[in-house]
Amino acid sequence: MAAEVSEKKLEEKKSRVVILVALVGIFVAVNIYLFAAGRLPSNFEGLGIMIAAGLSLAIYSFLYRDNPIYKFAEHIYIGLSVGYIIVYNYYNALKPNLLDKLFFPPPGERAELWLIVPLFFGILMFFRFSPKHAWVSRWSFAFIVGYGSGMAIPRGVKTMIFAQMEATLRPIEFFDMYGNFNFTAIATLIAIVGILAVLIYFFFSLEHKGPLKVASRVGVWFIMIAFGAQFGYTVMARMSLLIERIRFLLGDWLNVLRS
Amino acid sequence: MGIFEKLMKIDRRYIFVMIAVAIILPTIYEVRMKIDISEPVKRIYDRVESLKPGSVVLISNDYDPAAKAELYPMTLAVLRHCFRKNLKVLAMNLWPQGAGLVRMALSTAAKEYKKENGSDYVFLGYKPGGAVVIIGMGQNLLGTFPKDADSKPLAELPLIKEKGIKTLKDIPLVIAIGAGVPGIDAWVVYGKDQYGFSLVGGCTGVMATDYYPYLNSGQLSGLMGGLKGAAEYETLVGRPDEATRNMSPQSFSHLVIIAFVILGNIALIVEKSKKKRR
Repeated sequence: MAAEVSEKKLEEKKSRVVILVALVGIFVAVNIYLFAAGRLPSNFEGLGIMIAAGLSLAIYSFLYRDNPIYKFAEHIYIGLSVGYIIVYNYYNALKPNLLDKLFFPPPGERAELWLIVPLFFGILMFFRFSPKHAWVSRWSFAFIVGYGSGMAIPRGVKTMIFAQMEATLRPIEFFDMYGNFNFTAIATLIAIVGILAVLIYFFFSLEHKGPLKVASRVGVWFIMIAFGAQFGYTVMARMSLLIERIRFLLGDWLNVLRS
Repeated sequence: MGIFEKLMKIDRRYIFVMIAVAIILPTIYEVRMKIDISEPVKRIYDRVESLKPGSVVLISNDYDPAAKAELYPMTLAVLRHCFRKNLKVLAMNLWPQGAGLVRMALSTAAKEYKKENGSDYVFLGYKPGGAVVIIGMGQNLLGTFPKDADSKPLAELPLIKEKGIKTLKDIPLVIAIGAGVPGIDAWVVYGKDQYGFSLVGGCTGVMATDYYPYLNSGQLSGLMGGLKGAAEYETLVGRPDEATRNMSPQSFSHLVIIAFVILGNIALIVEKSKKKRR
C-alpha cells in the first residue's frame, strides 16, 4: 500500500515536471516567434520585455499551484528590491551625508567630526547579528525610539485626534447662506451617529444591555460597512495591478493591442 | 450533488480564469466606458487650476513599482496639468524605488509641453528619513536637498533662484502621491499642519478609505483614490491615457466578482436551509 502511494506521488511529480518543461518550452517558442516576426525589437529593450514577461508569468503561475518557477521569480524579486534599496541608499544617503563629509571633504573644507556620533550609533546596530552582543544595539534603538516618539506623539495627537475631533464637533449647518438645504449636513449627522455608536461598541465598562445594546449593534453595522468599503477598494486595487500586467503582456510583449 | 453544492465547492482556479477573461476581452476590444468625476478629485483639479501661471507645485511621489498601475497614471496626469498651466514643478521621492518612475513621468510630460529641466521643473530625487525630510524641508529646503537628482547645486538652478524658494512655506501647493509609509500621513502630520501649505493627495485603492477623514477635516483639500481616481483626473485634464483605458477591464472584473459574491451567498443560504430541513 505504502509503495503504491509513493509510486503515485512519483508519477504526480513526473507529470508536474513534464508540465513545467512544456510551459517553459512554449514560452521559449513564443519568444523565438516574436523576435523572428519583428514583434519584439532585437535589442536590449526586447530582451528586457521578454524577461519581464517571463517573470510576470512565473509569478502568476502561483495561481495554479506553488512551483519552482514561481519560487525562482519570487527570490529574484526580493533580491533585486533589497539590492536596489541598499545601493540607492548608499549613493543617496550614506556616501554624500556621512562618508564624504567625514572622510573625503571637498578641498578647502574641514571634515565634519560630529558625524562620528551617528556613525558610532549606526555601527552599534550591526550587533543585532550577534545573539550574544545584541544588547549593544539597544542604545541605538533607544535613541531612535526616544527621538521618534518625541517627534511623532505631539504632532500625531494634534493632527490625528484633535483635528478629527474638531471636524466632528463643528456645528451642523442644515441651510447655506442662501437658505438652500445643505445635503452634506446629513452626511455629517451620519458620521456623528457612527462615531458615537462605534465608541459605545468599544466601551466595555458597562454591560451592553438596553439602549447600550442597541447603540453597540448600530456600531457593529458601521464597522461592517467600513470593512466592506475597505474590501471593495482593496479588490479594485488588486485588479488594477492585474490589469496593468495583462496590458503589458498583451501590448508590450505579444503586441496584439492597437493602443 | 446539486448545482449550489457544486458552486460551494468550485475550484478557485475557475474563478481566476473567468476574471482573466473579463480583463483580457475588454482590453483587446478596447471597450470604453464613461468616467464620472467625483467631488474629491474635482477639488484637486480646481485647486491646481486656481494657481497663477508660474506658481510652484511640489509633487511628492512616495511609491514603488508595485503601485505603478495606480499611481504612475496619477503622477503623469498631474504633471500634464501643471505643465499645461505653466506651473513650476518640484518633484521628489520619499521611497527609493520610485525615483526611476518619476524621472520617466517627468521626461514624458516635459517633452509633450516642451519644458526645461532646471527652469520649468526640478527633480529633487530621493532622500531617506520620511518625516525628518519633510520637517527639514519646512525649515530649510536647500539644506535638506543641497543638490538635485542630477547632482546640480539646487541654489544655482533658475527655478529655485527665480522663485526664491527657501522652505515649504514658499510652496503654495503640495501634491502627495503615496502608497504607504512615509506618504500622505507624513505630509499631513509633519507638513501641512506645521507649515500651512495646501495639501492634496493621491493614493492606492487599498488606502483610500483611510484618508477620507482627512478630507472631512480639511487637512486634505482633495483626494484621488486608486485607478478610478487617476482615470477621473485624466478625464478632467482632457488627456485620457492608461488609467482611462484600464477602467473598462476593471469594471468587467468587478462584475465577475459581484456575480460570484451574489451566487456564493445564494448557494450558502440554499445549502443552509437544506441542512435545516434535513
